[in-house]
Amino acid sequence: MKRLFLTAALFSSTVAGATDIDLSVESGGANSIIVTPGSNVNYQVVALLSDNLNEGLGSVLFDVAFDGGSLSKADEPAALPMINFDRPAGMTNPNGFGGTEIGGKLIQAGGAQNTILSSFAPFPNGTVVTGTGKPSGGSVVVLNGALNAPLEVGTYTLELENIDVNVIRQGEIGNPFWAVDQAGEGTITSLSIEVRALFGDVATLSIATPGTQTLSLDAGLANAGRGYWCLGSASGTSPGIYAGPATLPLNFDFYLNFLFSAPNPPVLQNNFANLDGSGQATTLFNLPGHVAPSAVGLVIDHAFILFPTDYASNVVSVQLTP
Amino acid sequence: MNNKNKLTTMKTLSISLIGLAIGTTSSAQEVQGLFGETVPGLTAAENVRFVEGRDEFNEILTAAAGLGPIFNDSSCGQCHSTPVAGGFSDKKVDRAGIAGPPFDPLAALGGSLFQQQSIEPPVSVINPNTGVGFVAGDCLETIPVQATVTAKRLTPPTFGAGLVQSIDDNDILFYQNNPPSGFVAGIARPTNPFEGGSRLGKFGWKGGVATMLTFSADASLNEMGLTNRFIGSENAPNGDAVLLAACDQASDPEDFPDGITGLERIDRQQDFQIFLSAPAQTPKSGMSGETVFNTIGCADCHVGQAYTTMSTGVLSPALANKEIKPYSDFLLHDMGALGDGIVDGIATEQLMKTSPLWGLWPRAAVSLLHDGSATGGSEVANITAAIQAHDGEAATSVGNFNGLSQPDIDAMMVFLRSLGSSEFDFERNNNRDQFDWFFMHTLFTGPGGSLTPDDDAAISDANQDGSFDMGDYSVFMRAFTG
Repeated sequence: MKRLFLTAALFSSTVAGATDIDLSVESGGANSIIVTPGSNVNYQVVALLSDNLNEGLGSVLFDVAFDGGSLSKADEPAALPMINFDRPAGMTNPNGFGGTEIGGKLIQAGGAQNTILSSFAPFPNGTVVTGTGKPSGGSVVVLNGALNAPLEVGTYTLELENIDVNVIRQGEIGNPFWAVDQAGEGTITSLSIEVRALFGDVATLSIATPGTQTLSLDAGLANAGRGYWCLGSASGTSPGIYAGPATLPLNFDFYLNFLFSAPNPPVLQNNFANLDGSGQATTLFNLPGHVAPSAVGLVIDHAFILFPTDYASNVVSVQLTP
Repeated sequence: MNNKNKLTTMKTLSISLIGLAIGTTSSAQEVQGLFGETVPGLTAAENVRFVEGRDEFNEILTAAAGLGPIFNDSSCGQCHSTPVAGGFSDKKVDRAGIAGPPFDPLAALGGSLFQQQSIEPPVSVINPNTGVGFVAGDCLETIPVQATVTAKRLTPPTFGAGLVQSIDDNDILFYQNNPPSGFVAGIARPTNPFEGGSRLGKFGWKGGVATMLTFSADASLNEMGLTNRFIGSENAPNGDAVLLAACDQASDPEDFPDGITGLERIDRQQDFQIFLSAPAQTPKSGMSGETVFNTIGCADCHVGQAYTTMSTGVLSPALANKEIKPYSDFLLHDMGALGDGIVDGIATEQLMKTSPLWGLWPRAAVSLLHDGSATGGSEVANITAAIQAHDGEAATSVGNFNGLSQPDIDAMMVFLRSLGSSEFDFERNNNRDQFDWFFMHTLFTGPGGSLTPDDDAAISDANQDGSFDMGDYSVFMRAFTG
């Protein structure tokens, strides 16, 4: 009989060992967001096990890395089930559940439940919550954090590294302890954060009637009050123009040459001024109503630089239509 | 089907299920095995063989099944018991002879091994020597009064035996032919295993056995009195063939294949021992005390590195091409006064095989040396006594040891404590439980630590990254035994 129990337990371990963990880094439920420079970005790490052949998460650990700058410690959990993964009920590194800030990363964010049923040490000392992260109970947010988006425009990635997750073995009842197995890595999804400083309200303008594309400039609070120059080109964005040290992503052509020679022209109102106290401004691209039909299909790009010229925005395009 | 075969069938079926399951678990690979666990990477079938072998190893042999008539104990596990089956114990066997030259092993009187126990035939059986029914002790062997040399031999552990067997003989010859210093001159011992061929001896205090099958066959007869397919005749009590005929209760060979697997007891004993994991060593390397150990010459014989191979007879792929740290060159050395005075083949009175030091610390708590004479004190005291008892080729190293500063001695002892220590077993009692955690939690550093292998917390730094952090704790959770 004893041997049969052992057999069952070992078979269970085999099955549990096949469980994978899916982890998704999200912001507002999305894995891809667009933000303005320097804006605050809240993120969550959402976990979901691949099957129900276990008793849920026993521990969850990962490093959080961001190629857009250093990360600050993430939040401590405030409610079940994750509070049982935090000290003193659970076990974390001394710096806490939100990770240890080393080299700009959060090292070993997360924690572990008291699967060893520790009762003599001050931590972990809690009970074990089962079912966490099982498909039958739905995904669970295992980490909440926030970061500041970079000032520089571009696309950045918030990703997880060194993932180490234990699942409680199926059939475990915590006697004499909760046996766990390491979960395999399932689908690990990063959060893509695109930082844009220039936004357009429309993507097309018709040559049939006069029209306006409103260009919203937002270089972030850190750039408040700086002088800007919004420029345009009908000849593409690469290689652009080196403005030292920034590169304006516009190719030189007649339109750009015209804008260089005439700040704040009617066609591009308020293209040469200072950002306001929030680092924002508005420029208007005004398409006159007598454009030649041959211009249909033409793409006109705009971007801005700040003075001194260490900052260039992204490109906003508008295509001319009939 | 007889009862033995029925039992074997049931065992085989149930163990097969266990084996299938065990064979796919992986967490045990992250940490070194505790004493009694298997080498990593066994197949399901090999796990079955291990479990069956362990049962056989612990099975008490009865007289009807072949025990005796003279024997030292009634199962392998009776002596190889500490801390688990396959281990060591303080039990010793007796060797004796007449000092030479030439040495006389008193073979005609049952030597040089004199068994300590015997079975008792029914009183209805007439003792040919007394003419009356047998009484207690009539079959018992005694050390002849002629003996001028007696030696005790301690029960050695068999952990990692399959790995040792898998060391290429050429590696052992290398150390014979390239002595690491001018103070040592080890001798490899050629042997002829029962299963055929020629191999260098690696097992036994005198290095007389090369394979665990030969070891099992030899020990089955000489320690338990179980005749087998390799040794078909019993040891006669003090060489008395007439007494043997009256005392012997079972026809030979007493070991025979079961009806299911075709394996004999000695085959299953072998299976268990060859698949036992090597004793753990934590930290695995980098301790300053090991540098001291090497510097004073201990490592000239207690070589801390060996490699297994498939070229020495394929026991299992799980045993091949592994780097192991047995801390032995498996050569015979002239140990001077530490020799046991017994001649066994080319292993003359002073020649003793370098005893592997892996798994040393638990043994040091009980007794050390071939005769168990380094005993009665703390681990450090027993180790110190064992070192001081070294002589002959080891005398220079002993002198070097005696010249060490106390900090160096302490460092060396801390290193020796790592031999037999598995990750997270802070108490060193062959488990990983919450009591270990109670002691370890105060040593927790978190990431970015600066632990060295000499720190106490290093036993918990499973990935040896200098930190005892949640990465290690996660491994601890998986390796937890309670």
